[in-house]
Amino acid sequence: MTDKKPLTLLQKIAAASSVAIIVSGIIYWSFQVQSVMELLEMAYG
Amino acid sequence: MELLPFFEWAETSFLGYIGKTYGGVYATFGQSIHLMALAVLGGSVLVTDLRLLGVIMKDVPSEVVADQAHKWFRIALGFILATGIFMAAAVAQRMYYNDFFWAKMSALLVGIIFVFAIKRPLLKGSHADIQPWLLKLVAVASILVWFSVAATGRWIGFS
Repeated sequence: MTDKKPLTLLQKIAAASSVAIIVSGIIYWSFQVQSVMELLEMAYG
Repeated sequence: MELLPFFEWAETSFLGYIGKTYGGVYATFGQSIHLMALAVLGGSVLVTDLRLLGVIMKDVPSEVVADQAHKWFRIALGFILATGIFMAAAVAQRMYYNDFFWAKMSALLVGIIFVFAIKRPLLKGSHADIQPWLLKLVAVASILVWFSVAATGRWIGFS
């Protein structure tokens, strides 16, 4: 049923925005985790 | 746009005065209701997104799950915004200088726009007309953005 139908405009926007959110989220939380790890290393060696 | 004057005003406003002066009011009408509403909102998001991912309630049509959960999402969001504004007013200047507050507000704005402009219009119709990979992609993005709101919100308390 959904095999060959082209994506509607809303579906394309949903896909693009979802990818943007996921990529941004991965980048943001990677920086946060790295920052906490550096802080712990400074504090505890 | 310079927001500091607004935050300084908010802290001296009636809301800010009540929140700062009466700790009991802050704790009950602010934090408790905010956290309970967050639980409802988080629950509605997870129920919908885990259903879209095919993890839970597989015997219930995803359209039904999404419709029912969205009702509670809207109610919870209303309470969250109202109590959040009340709590932020009491400590407005401290929030202004807190990076995690701004991260939370950014994630909240993205989340609200994503839900009302993209996810909800997409999921209103029949889900059979939507590619399964797209439903899963939207579900993962939704979980990530609301997790970010909750996590940065909690992080405010530790920063």
